Amino acid sequence: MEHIAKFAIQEAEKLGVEYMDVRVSQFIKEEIEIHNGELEKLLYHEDQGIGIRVLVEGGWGFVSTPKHCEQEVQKCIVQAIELAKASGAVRQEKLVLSPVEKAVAEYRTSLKRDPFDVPLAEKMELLEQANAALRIQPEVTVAKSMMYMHREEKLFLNSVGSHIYQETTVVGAGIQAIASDGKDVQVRSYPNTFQGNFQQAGYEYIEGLGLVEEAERVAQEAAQLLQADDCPEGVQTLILHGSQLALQIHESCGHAVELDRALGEESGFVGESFLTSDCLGNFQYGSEIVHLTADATTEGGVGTYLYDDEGISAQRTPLVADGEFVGYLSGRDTAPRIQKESSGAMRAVGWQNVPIVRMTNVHLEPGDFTVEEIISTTESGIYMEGIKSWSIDDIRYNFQFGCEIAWEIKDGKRIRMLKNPFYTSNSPEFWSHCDAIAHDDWQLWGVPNCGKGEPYQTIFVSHGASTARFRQVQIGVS
Amino acid sequence: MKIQEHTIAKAFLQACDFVINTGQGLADHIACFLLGDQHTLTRYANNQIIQNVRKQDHTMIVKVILSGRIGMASCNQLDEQTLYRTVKQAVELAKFAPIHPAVAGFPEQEIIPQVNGCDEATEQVTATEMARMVEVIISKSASNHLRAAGAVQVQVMDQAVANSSGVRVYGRRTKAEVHAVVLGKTGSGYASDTKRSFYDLQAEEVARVAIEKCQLSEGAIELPAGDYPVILEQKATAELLSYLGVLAFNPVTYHQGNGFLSNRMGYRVLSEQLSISEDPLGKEGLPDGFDWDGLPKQKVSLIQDGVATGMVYDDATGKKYGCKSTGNARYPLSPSYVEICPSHLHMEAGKTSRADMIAQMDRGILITRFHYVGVLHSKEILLTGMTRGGTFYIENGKIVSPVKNLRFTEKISSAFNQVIAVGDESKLHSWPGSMSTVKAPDLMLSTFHFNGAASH
Repeated sequence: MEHIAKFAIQEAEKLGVEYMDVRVSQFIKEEIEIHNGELEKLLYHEDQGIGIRVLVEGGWGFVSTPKHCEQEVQKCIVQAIELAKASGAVRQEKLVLSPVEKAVAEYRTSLKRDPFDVPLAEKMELLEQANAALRIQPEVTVAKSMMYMHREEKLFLNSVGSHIYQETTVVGAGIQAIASDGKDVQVRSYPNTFQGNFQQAGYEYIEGLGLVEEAERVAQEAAQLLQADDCPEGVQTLILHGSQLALQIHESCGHAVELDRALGEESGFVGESFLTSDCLGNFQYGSEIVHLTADATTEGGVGTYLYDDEGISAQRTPLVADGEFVGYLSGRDTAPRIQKESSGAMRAVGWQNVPIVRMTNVHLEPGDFTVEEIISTTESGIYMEGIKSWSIDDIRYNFQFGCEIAWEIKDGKRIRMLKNPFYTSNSPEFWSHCDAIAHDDWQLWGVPNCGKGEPYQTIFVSHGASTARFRQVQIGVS
Repeated sequence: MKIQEHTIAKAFLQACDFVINTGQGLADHIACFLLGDQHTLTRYANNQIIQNVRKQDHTMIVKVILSGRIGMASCNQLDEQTLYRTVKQAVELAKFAPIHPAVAGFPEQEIIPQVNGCDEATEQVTATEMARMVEVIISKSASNHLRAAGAVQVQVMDQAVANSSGVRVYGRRTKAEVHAVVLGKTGSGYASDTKRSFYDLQAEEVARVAIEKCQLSEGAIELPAGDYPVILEQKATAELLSYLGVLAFNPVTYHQGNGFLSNRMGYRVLSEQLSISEDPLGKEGLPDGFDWDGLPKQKVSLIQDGVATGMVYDDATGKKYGCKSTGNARYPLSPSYVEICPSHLHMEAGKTSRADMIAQMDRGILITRFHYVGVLHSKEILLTGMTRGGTFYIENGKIVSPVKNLRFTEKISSAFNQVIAVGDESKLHSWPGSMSTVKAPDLMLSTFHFNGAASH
């Protein structure tokens, strides 16, 4: 790693680049899935490679290759310079970068039990037991149990002399029951829909999820949903569990505060943002109890690191404070356009990809309520849990989310299960109707499939969220 | 040059041979799957290039069967030491796997249709040529005081599959794509083009259409939610069709009874005006001769005159459900939520031009494309999403006003039963990073449900 990275820097400097950085990384992952008691997937994967980014004549060029030999690296640098020159030739405004300091640092995920040292038989036994427990319920036609772990060792060097080594270990696991009666199909997942939940941790995180213990409830709820009443439509009070609120934060805040979107750089693909730069410090995003923060330093977050992929230190950035929009996620080439410095949010998926502005860990800070207080003080409303569907417009304004399960709340109590619920609103109106946020069930929800950019990059991000209440929300049934 | 004589073909088949030979002493059955991907992409926004990348990688996946147990390992280095370690890793994993009751080895060799999916000139496209294509769009947009964003990209995919039952195939395919989102004060317009060859891309036409739509979109009015007749342009049809493909033609959910077509095969499920096939060999698309089992791809009739006529299978699901593979094995490293489904959907064109559709419409909405479509109910194919890139209100046979983007929530099975007319040209569409395609015409539907509007 060390040798080839230094070689790349030296060669690029010989060719007169204005700036360059190089990431050399090795990646391993293991995936196990059991469907209906049968092995669906048992995979061990490893890859390694080098990603080179150069700034020449005012344009960026990026080339990646799996080959580590000096000859290949020389070829890639020449290609990257060609790309950069072609970029620089089609620019209307000068590319300005916020400063980067030389940094020498090392980071490793804190873990108790290395997941790659845990015997495969032990992992299999856990997933088989959880899968068997799901299948006790006769209506469950598909029972899934799954486990995931990866480790990335990444060395970052740049032409200002930084030398940053980061070793990140991510683990996750989950179960899912699909129940069917021939007419209807209903799904319940635990801890959440996208293959479970994920953290930067060791195997102790998976052991602590209680997959086997939760399986019976998950399967029962999937079966009960087949007989449940449809969710009533109308404008009502909505209580969201953290499993769904995490996605709400992700879609309506996390993506909306990406500065590249706000500046129009994503308009050719995923879209822009209703939070344009003139809104910064000047727009009421939510009610006064809403505090949203991007925190790349959160322990256990899958978006946690010491330095981002431009060599900028991890930061805790207030996004929404007392309901007001106050901050963006940004990088070195976007921040100067709003007279700021990078917020350290440039991330690349693996050595293969160029860093772009990404979410880190975007949290809704805990509130003053307990979950019990929120429910007991709700006269009438709908409580929803679990991600089922998601859709939001290209400026992150109008959205519609479906949930796996709901319960009707009457006079402070859950009175009946409801199926096929969804809610729809727009981001500022929705968050301005937030009147209660719990603190006692606040936790990290790891999302493994945040997609953005061309070429498309799918990255892990976390969201800290707890149960919260929103008044006057349009609720529907699908 | 014959494709097997290509340097990469030789290197890929040599790596596959090494894996199969190594594994035959260690496992009962062995297969390997090698994917090479070169992706060059020039991205632009605000009338300038903002990103210019060239990435390449190759992934060797080794799958072994040992006493009825399956193990899989993968790597991205093709030296013999790494390949040997990967084979051993797959074997070690298999030792700990539960016995798979249905495992029966890997498929045997079949005759692969000869297709030409590769344009050699496209492999050599330079950064300057791609930047020039971007400049065409930017200069036309800037001269109209508009800003353009989008990408020009070229993908070269090498694929090799081999196994201990005799399969040994290699193929190379190319894809070139340009898309543009042109933005004005309040309006926006979208257009794209996908071809096998970079040199066939119609950048000027993409720019013309996107600019025209953007200019027509200025000053959009808000329409109340409700049911409206619609004309779906080709891209919009393609987006809905792609969801139909994933949700209705997944053989697992179909046979489990959880799919839209469960217990409906042979019945009329869509409008009689619609015929849909899996068409991987069509010369006008991105032709593909074999799948990730190394088995031949073939044309499969899925819907004929509205009647459900077929399903797609890979080797494993074919054997499980007593059907023959149709050549639809997915990439072995796909996430489990990427199910078996058609890879080259084609909805047959009809006879009505877009101009005639508009002229026939008393009152309704013209939709360029959709954005961020989500599945609310998979069995019923109930989808929600927004319109994007140009939405227009039609009255008395004429476009009278742009419309602010609308949210739809609709069962596609119902919508595709309300067909008034089918467009006279099917256009090829593909999605970023994917070599799968959807070829679709315009559709005129008598009703489509909108339940909200965006702010723009």
